[in-house]
Amino acid sequence: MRIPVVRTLLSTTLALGALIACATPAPPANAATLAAMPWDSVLARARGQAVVWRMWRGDPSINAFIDGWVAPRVLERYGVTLRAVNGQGNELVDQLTVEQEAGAKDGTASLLWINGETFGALRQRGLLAGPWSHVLPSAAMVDSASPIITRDFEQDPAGYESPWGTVQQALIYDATRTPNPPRSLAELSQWARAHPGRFTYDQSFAGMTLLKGWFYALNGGVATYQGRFDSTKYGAGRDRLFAFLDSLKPFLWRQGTQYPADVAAMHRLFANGEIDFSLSNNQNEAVTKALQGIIPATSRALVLRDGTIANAHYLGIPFNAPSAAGAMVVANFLLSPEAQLEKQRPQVWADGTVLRIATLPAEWRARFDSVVNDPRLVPADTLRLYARPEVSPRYHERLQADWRRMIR
Amino acid sequence: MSARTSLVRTLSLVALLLFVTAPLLLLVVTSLARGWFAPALLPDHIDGSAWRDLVTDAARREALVNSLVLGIMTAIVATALALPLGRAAARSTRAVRRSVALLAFAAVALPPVALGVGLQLTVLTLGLGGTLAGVFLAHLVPTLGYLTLVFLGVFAQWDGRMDEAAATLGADVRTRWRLVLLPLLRRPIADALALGFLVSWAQVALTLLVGGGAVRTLPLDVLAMLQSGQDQRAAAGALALAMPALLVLGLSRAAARNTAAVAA
Repeated sequence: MRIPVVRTLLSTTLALGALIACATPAPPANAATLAAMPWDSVLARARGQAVVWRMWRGDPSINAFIDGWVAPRVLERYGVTLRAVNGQGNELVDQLTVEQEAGAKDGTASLLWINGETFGALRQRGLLAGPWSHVLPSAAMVDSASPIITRDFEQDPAGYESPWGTVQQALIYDATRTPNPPRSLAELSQWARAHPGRFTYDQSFAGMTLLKGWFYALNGGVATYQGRFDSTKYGAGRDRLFAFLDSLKPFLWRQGTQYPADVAAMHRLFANGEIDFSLSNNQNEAVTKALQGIIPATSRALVLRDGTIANAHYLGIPFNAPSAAGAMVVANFLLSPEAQLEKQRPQVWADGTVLRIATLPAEWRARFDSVVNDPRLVPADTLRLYARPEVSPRYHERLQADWRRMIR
Repeated sequence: MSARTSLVRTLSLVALLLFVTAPLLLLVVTSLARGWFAPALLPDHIDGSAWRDLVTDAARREALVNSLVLGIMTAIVATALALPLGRAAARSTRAVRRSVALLAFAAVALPPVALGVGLQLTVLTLGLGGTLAGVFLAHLVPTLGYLTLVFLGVFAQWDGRMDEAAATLGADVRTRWRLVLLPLLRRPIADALALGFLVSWAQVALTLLVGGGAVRTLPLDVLAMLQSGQDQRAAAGALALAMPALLVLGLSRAAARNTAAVAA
């Protein structure tokens, strides 16, 4: 009795779907096709397009920059309607995989904020269009000497993603509470032993990135791990790191039996005086979060002398982007000195630039210098000195899995 | 009743009241406090920006409006479909009744994530991925399940004699619906609308999967704020989320007072 009903419903749905599919026009130009055209034709095609940009939407200052500063400008100058929506990491991969399976010619999103693992997964499954990023006029200003930008977790962006910002991990401390903070991993380990229960790290991305920085430091630097994932090298390095973590464990917050869920939880514990250090993958978050009243106004960032991990974030265009031309125009605008400078201002986002400042026209150089040398921020040359690149995403995955199995 | 039992009872009531109101009160304070760090007893300063943002910030307003539109649409459509469905099933054979109940229960009991993946494929095939219409269709599934169960229950114990009397007196179907059935059904319909609204209002997993992040709703907004440590904004959003539920509770209590036979 029920089965015919279900079958009829199913066939009706499929028939409807087929009808709709037939009714849609030919798929729009793909980013790789557009890359072969002169930039002016890309601009012409972009006019009047609506670009849905899937990105992390958790930070009101980033949202305000995108919605209130970028969107009106790309609309006014290029006729592109930009709409940022939520979606990050595996969600992007899952969404596009389902669209690919459903045979959806037209996807929902035209632009994605990605890096590292997500980029790797999308590339592997053929979900990104490209190559296209090398044809953006602004791409010439990108700092191509920086390994942080030209390699995304050891992967070659290969024109399938365009860089738009850099961040470097830092610890956050309260200058009034901890006037003389530790400056190296050895000093930090001593400090934790002298102040039991006042230090911890979170169990999500930022915490694991911190551990990865220590992993390099305790195993003779990052050079050992560059290139392809090597499980023998990894195993030896992991054992050294875990021995160090085991010795530290009794002195951590709650004796290392529990770890905060994420950076937000770290900030809460830090703000309420339960622990003395928070951390962030963006060295400038000490300033932005203090401005937002989330952590005390006397918060400062510090970069350990053993080196901390820096990485870039990128923009990708999905294989089924309905407005690839518009997406390329937005990516190009975000690389303009004007947008890069606005993004880097502490009261906006404090996200590092990917441009090579030395090669910019003099007026822009001066403006960038005044922002970079804000006294509340970690000086730019200090950052450069201690920046360490990411290695193959496999190291991150394995470390996370093993940490959950053996330490937590 | 001895003095001792009444004391125990009073204490339990006070404990229960605290249990319910304390978290809400804490949310109220958090939503208004800026820079409130332990051990300070009072926040640095009080500001209503988190509440203002709900209406003035374009993205947050969009989330609020989407949630309201989805909730109202889902409530109306699901009620309109579930009422005749529940009635027809209740008056049908036992086998049909059981299979309808089973289907309705499946829509309710399936984990939203599992349901969401199936619905996501359907919605994408229809070309409605990442649209409000697609999310509305997805919300309709569990809501229809709940409301079908509600109306099955209502009509299973239905006293048909009024309707029969009207029919005997020569009233046609439309007149009977207008003058007899709908007035009798006023309370269950109001309950169904409220329940339908709340089921959609609180949906997270389905919205996320089918909307693909492109359809912002209030609960998704609150989650995003929590994950990024924006506790003040998250608290204001959470209270806004709780309001309809409290309102519905208050209304149904008030309605219960005016109805002779309810177990509220």
